[in-house]
Amino acid sequence: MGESTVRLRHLYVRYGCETDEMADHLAVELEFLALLATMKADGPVQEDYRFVLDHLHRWAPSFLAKVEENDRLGFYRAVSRYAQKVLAAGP
Amino acid sequence: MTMGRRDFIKMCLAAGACAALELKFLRYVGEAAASPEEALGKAIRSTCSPNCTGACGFMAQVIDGRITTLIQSADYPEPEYNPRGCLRGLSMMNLIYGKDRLQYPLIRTGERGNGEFRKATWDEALDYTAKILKVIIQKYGPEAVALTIQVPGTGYVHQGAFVRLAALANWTIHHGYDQNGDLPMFWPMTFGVQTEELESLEWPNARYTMVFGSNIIQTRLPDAQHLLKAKKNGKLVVFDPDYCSTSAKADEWVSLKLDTDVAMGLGLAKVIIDRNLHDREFLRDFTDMPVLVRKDNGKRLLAGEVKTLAADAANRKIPEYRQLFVVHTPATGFSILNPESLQPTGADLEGEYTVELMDGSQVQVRTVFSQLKDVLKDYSLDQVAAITDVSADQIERIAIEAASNKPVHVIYGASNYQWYHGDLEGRALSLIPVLTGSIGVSGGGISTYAGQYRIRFDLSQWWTPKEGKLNWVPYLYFLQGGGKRYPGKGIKAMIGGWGNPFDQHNMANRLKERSASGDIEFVVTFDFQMTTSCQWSDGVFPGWGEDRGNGTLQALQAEYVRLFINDLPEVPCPLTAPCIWKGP
Repeated sequence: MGESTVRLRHLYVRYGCETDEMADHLAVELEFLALLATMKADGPVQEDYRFVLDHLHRWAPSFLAKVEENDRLGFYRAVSRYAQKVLAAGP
Repeated sequence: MTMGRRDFIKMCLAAGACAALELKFLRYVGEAAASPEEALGKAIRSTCSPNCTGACGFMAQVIDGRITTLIQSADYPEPEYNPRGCLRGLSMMNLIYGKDRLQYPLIRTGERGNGEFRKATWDEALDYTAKILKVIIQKYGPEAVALTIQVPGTGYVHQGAFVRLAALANWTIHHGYDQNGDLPMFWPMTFGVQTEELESLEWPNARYTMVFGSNIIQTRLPDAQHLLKAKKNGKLVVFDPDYCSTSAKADEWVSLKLDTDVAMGLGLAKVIIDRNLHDREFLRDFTDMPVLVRKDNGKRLLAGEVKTLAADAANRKIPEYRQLFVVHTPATGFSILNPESLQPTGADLEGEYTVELMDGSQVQVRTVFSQLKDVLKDYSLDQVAAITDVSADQIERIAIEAASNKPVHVIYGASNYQWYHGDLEGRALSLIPVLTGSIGVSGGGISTYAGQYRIRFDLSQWWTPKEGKLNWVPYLYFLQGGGKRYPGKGIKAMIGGWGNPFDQHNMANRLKERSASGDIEFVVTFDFQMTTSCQWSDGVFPGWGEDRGNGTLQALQAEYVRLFINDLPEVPCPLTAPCIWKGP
């Protein structure tokens, strides 16, 4: 695992959470983001939210673009576009 | 509802509250995962030690009982030995978690060798094994059960446990070294030791390194850098029919014909002597070159046989393992060589004499050196060139270079000495450092990098307790079905582990035939993966990997003994099986 992945894993633990997936799996990161979104945006939570979002911004857009490009069923294209909107919306 | 992190954890701790979150990928475990250190697992120091003898230290990150990452620990005291650890060691993960990894005991259901087994519990498999062994022991005696032990140096404790069992049960035992000729016979024949070698840190101190049939760049990867350093201080000459990786790194590659290293060694020795480049003083004082040999029977002349020396010899007190040989000195003629002294003798290195024996008869004697020169007569440059397919000019130049760039270090590869007449090669090659006086000096000598397990603490208490007895039988006697100490009623059961004799022995077919015919009635193998020997077994038990075991091993090239008794229980039991080696 790379440094940023370890950091994510570390972060989940601080919220009492574990995952069997890789810590930087898109679904895991988004779910954690959703979890943080339900919480009060106090200093530390906001910081953590920013960290996960920044992490996603670093790689997810190009990943989602590739999903869109290679999808033949239409479903993943739709999901991917939605995810791009969510990420673009920011906090 | 909004809350902070602490509120969140508090809320989740309330019964059932976390279920409401409907998490799909994350799992709320609360306090259990509270410490980040635990989530990141443990870093455990271990040593990668298959029989390459590199013994590389590794840190293993273990999360949820599973190794996730291996990195070189780089913690050897000498900085030159760090970092060490190669891709092959890292790839052990593929074996530990690979499809051939044994996870539970197996009992054979199909024909022997076809690999059909059923899963068994530990209790069931152990009872099954013990029951059959009891019958065999009752019928043929305890020596009919034979333990095969391969490279116990890679696990003195856990492999030693098998030796202890064999001793206490009075079984027969074969050492793996018998199978593959791991101990080069020329060592006891010439130097009178099991083996010797330079540790790799010494390699750069040689001014002339001659490698015969040893592919160091590939097979001793963590230490290969030291061979490359040796090129800065001196010259690296590689004698090999193949343009192997080590040939490619050589300053000079000598592409000699297959199987002609002995002639090459003798040819080089002859040039060194003919050109008077040998170290006469070293040969006289530190070798047996001046010792007199009888021409009639080829044996060394004993002082007790010589009329003028016998009385003196009878009065000398020497240890039982010593003998009194005779040298000739210009000052005193025939004299007794004191076997307990390394003082200069002033003995003649060359010469042929007539000596009167006790019975009044006379025999011709000559020095070992004179005899050597006689043998070397058949290895003139032209003759050696014809045998080896290497030009006479090249052989002559290399011999002169070696003798003028001391110390010389010869590395003699196991690919050669593990075959018939491998002893002749070692004897021929050891002449080069001996003639040039490159023995006992930093960077000089001859090294063989196999079979160099020299244990430095007393294992007898563990391996062979007082009440036990081991019946050592060489492997070849077992396969031939006869020989010294071979049990009267034969060997009927084989117990083995961490070795693969059904595949890797050059007489593996004999084992398969005898197992298929039922002559060998029962075979049990302990291993961490399904090997050919496991496939030929009646009972198979999952054991530790050789390199991950609890125990001690000797880090040979680095000359350290590594202890790893307590650091591993967590590592390799990620699977469902209970493990017989779990923790001391």
